[in-house]
Amino acid sequence: MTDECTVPGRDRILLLATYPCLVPKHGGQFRLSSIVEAYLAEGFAPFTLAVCDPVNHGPEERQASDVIFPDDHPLRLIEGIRLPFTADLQAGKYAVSDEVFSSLIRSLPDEVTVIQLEQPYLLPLARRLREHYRHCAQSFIYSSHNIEAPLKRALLKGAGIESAVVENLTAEIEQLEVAATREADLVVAVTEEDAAQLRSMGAGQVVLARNGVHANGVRPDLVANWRKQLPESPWMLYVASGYQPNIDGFFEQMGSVLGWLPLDTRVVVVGSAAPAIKQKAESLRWGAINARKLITYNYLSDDDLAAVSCLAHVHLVPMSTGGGSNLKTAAAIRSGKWVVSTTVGMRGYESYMSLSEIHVATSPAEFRKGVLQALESEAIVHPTQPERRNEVLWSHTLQGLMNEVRKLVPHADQHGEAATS
Amino acid sequence: MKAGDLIFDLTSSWSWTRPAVGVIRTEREIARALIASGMTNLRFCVYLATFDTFAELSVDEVEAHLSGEQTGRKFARSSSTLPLITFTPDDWYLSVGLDWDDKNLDTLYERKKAIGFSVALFCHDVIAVRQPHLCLDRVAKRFPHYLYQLAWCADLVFCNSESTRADLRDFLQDIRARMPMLKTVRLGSVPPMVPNAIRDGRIRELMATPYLLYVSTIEARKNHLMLLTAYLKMADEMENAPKLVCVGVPAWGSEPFFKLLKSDPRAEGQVFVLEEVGDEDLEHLYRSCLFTVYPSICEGWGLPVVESLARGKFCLVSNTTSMPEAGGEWCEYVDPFNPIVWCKKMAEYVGHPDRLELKQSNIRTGFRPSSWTDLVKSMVDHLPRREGAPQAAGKSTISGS
Repeated sequence: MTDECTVPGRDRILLLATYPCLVPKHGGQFRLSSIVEAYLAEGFAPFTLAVCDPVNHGPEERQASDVIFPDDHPLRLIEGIRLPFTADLQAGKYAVSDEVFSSLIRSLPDEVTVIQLEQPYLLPLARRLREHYRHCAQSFIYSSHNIEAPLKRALLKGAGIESAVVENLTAEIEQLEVAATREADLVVAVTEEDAAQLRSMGAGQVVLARNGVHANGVRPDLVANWRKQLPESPWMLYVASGYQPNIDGFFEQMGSVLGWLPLDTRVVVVGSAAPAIKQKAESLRWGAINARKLITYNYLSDDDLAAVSCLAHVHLVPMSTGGGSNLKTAAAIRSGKWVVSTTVGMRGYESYMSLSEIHVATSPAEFRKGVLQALESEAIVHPTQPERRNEVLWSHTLQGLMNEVRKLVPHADQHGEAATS
Repeated sequence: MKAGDLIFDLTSSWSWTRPAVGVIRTEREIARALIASGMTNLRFCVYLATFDTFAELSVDEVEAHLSGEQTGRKFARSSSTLPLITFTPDDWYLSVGLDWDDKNLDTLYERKKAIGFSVALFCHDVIAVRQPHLCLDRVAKRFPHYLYQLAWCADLVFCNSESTRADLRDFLQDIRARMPMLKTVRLGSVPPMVPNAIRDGRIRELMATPYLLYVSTIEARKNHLMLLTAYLKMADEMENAPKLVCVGVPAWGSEPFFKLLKSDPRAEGQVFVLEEVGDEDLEHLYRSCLFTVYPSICEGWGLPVVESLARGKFCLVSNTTSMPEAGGEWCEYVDPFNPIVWCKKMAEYVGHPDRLELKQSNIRTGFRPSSWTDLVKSMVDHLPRREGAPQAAGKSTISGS
């Protein structure tokens, strides 16, 4: 990316986030990474700056320009206490301090055309950078992944934090969100529902950019290899990061005991949610039954995941809470397999609910019934409406954003020449 | 339509080399009764763990085994030469054995799913799930998953009591498993025999004075420690208290009982434990006892209670789980966690021989135990009939013994 930034004539887009995206593992990282790739394909010069946690994001994930928010920094504490789910909020305060800011701008380009803020937490940094780059005609984009304030409230309450503290933190986050929305020249939303809410917060121009999935090819050798390792009888796949609603949703929909699944049916869980789901499943009262139903993989490469996904009979989308939309929903739709989802899981993809291969459940009992029906159904060989399924590809879902950014950028008509030079 | 066979699985007793426990006796007696019924389309099989498959036994091999000619050691040598069994969609597969230990129910499920035959299994109790602290740790850990496998394998599960059926139903609802048909059947009991002369000198000596009798494996669940505590209190308070004779093999969790037995001087000369007692000597013990006791904490059925009644002997029994079902109107029931009441009740019947005789007279005239033949008829009757379903050959009903 650095090389791209030095190419004359390319508009530089500086993206700010609280996580790097070199090695995407969770939904936010995949989204950011896909946006960066889309910008590159459009001839822009994206440059990411992450203010991130060194514990969760090791050196292999970070770029030289990324800023480490030290784990033992005083700003990690809120009123002297280390509270969960607050690192991103505090990262924004850390990055804007004089000492840190003066260091980080040394690795930034001299000129930037667009500053894009992923989620509201680094708004203080975005403001200071906008001031730093006031000599450039830069535009400001606020890229919302979901409406953060209510989500944080739920997470903080769920962690048992005192109500007064929860409300103070939530109010602070809400102020950031509203401010980012109003200050932006363009606001990016992941669902129609979020777009409406962002407009009500005062957003001017809003563009919808749903979460998507890449068009990964499937390698026959990997499929053959995984077929030997995975069960012969129909099984189901759940791909999820370690985000708490992903874990909670699994147990809310699937139940605390998996005895309702046929004897030869397994649940394959892939992603950073897998260890937590396995541990909880085995610690529950009938954990001995659960233990034999789960097959877990903490991490699979994109190619392996594509092969595994191809072999699954059913994809599960069991989220009960959480905002925005989910990449796993896009992946499930694109897979062409049976999908059993909650209504929350289909947020942002409501138009796909009518596909015959997709069962949307309004209760856990209905979810389980949908799973059993899918397991008893023939494996899908030719999914319906393949063209519609291609609309969940990132190349499609981000096109609207690319079009709007072209309008914002003053030298948009020079991109064709810059891209081919 | 092709008539299906009833295929009875003999895996547990086929390889059993120790004195038979309840489940093994049940499996063998059902096999005997099935053969005696003259049923057509009756076949036998065993599960071979080494090959993860099912092999067929001929009726001659089974009869030889039941008569004591075939031993576990001989089975091990011949297992590789047994022919594999072929199941057809019209068959019923029936197993009543130690399925959680002896066979791979995942394999049975796969075979059933592929071929389409029907499966009937047996639930003896759910104690390892409901009261795991009273069972071997190994069994308690294995049992929940075993019952989950049972639920998905079986079209029909026979339960040995309404209490077991209710416990199984509740557990399967707890784990949200598929609910097969659950049917309660009554286990048979071996009718009393007329014993020959006493072989064991100890027994002759014991029979010379009054005693109470407890026949059961000696393990934590069977509550020997509570009984001993209650008995010693009674012996303290009573002149010339009858002896207490416990017949059974020591097993898991019996150490506290044996520790008290050895250390309390009041037990010496009063409490006796007999580990290996032949059938005929046991008959003598039953005949000569004042009455029997059965203070077990929990049971799936309570076969020794029935066997005591079948010999005309009154039994003081725990009031929990299936035991009141087994003993019916013929016994008196006591809280197994209350040694004071046990002491009082034992003393009552010891001190009032007229009351005891009235009870036993009623038992002799009114109690009728089920036979194994009755059990087999009941089980076959419960199997949903297809045209040509297994039935007794040349007979309209299976005659009782």
